[in-house]
Amino acid sequence: MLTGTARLARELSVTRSVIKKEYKMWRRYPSRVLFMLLMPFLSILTLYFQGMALVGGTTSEAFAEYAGTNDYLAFIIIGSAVFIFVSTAIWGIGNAIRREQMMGTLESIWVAPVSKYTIFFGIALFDGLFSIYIAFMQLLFSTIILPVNLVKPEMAIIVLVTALLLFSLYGMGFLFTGIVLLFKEMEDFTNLINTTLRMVSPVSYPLAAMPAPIAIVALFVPLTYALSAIRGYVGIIDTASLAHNAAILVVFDTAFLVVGSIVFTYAERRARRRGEIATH
Amino acid sequence: MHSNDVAIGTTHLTKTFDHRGGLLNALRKKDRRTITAVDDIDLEIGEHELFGLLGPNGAGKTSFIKILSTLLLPDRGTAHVNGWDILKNPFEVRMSIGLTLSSERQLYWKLTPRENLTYFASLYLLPRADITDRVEDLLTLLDLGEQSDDLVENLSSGNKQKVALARALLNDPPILFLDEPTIGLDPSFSGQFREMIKKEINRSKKKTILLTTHYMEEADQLCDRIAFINEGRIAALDTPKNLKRSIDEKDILTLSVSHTTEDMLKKISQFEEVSSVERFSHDNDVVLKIFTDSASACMQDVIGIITDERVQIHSFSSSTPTLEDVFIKLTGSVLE
Repeated sequence: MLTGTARLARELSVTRSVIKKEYKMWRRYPSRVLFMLLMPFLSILTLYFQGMALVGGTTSEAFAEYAGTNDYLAFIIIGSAVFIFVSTAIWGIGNAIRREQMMGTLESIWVAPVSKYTIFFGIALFDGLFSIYIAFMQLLFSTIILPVNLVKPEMAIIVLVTALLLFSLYGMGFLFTGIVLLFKEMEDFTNLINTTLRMVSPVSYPLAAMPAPIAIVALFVPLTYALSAIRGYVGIIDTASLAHNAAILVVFDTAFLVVGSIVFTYAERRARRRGEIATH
Repeated sequence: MHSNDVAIGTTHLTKTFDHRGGLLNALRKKDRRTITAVDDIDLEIGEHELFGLLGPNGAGKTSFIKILSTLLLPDRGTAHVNGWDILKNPFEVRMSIGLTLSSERQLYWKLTPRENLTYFASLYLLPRADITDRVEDLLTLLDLGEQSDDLVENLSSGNKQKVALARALLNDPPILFLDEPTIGLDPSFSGQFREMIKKEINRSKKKTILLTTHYMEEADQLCDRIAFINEGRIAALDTPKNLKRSIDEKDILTLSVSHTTEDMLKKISQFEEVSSVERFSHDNDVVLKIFTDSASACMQDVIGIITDERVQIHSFSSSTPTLEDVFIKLTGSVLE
């Protein structure tokens, strides 16, 4: 029987298969490909027009009073680029499991000996690549068509900080997968969490613009520290050191992974007890 | 059977489901029903055996297979598959089995058979270097060569089922669970498929197979032994031949009639040659199964009683006992 490092090596190679399978499935739906091509461009234009309407350009002194920077456009483009990772991570694993449930393939996966976490890891990597593409294209389009330069070497920090943020998000992903198994419903719940996270964290506006109770909630959201670290590092705002923010993210990572895994393990066992792995 | 010849063994295996009928009813504790899907089943299936679970829809066949394949946790009792405890060693159990489910949607329809098999081969932790050859061998074995690069959504139901069977064989497991393997297939393809299961998979590759079915001919044609399952319980277990012999009566009269009356059934039961009468609904008719030692001796009298009661006879036949007749006699239920 397969044990130890031999099993670990095989499990790791499964992640590659999951990515290949997700990619093949993805490209066979033309609307998804179209969405991927157009989405970065359209989302950036939306942010730009919004900026033009609100502050009459790309910078605002009024905005600087709250955010510590007058560079409104760079502030929200970075927020938007990072939020892509949050959004795909929240939607990603739970939604992929829900899709398998709806397609009827979930039991076939569940009965396979591979660890479910390996499959989740593969899905997460695929989503991560997807997010990197969207975020990079947003920054690239911004630099090409807008008066803002965000494609510069220090922007690679987005990848590093987001990588730290992702562990928290995938902890949330495990949690949402548990919720899929428990409640057979994903969309409304994900929308709720997605919208709430966007509201309580400094994606489109700084913490100082939030009412005090919401600003306090923002302190318990890892995205707050990721955005703070990135914006601080590239010089858009003054913030605590990168290492300080990174340390806080590691604490969140640990907490979310542990809680997510506990909820998933509980939900999976409950679904197996009630015969509800595949029920819609 | 020696214990080391046992491929699958269960002891007091029991599974119940609570149906609460909605959140409000659950809170009011109203409309709560407990359904026993698997009821205290003790069973041993030998190595290389082709074993059938025959029963009507809802009898507990799929729940039983799902417990053995670790998709469902039992409430009570235990089971061993290939020597591994389903509760303590789920990984080893999963490495030892292949499973096909009755749903057509168990494959990725937007992938080809080759892509499906390649993906699932990795989920079964096959070495990457072996996957291509293994997939190719199975596509050839199951005669899927020409369709191997078409999307699954474009395949016939029969070929989808072949791909599902190929998937179950990917890890070359000693044990296969086939849940209603020919459901929805056309009759001629079902015959070929059964032949393949018996000759290629069971006899030639020596796989232990547990299959569930509600098709009497399928169980009769394929299985070394059959267990009748009804309302979660094993009602009888033997070879098809012995099960058919277990009925003392030599003949079965089967009549499809417009309706029945208590008086009519009483009179038919009182004939000396008639040992029992079973009645059940089928489509819009009522079907009577009359178990008798001699159909010719009582046929005229039975028809006379029915016509005297002004009941219309839609069809009439006489046959020797089939497995379905044994099932009806033992359980009072029909297989469909």
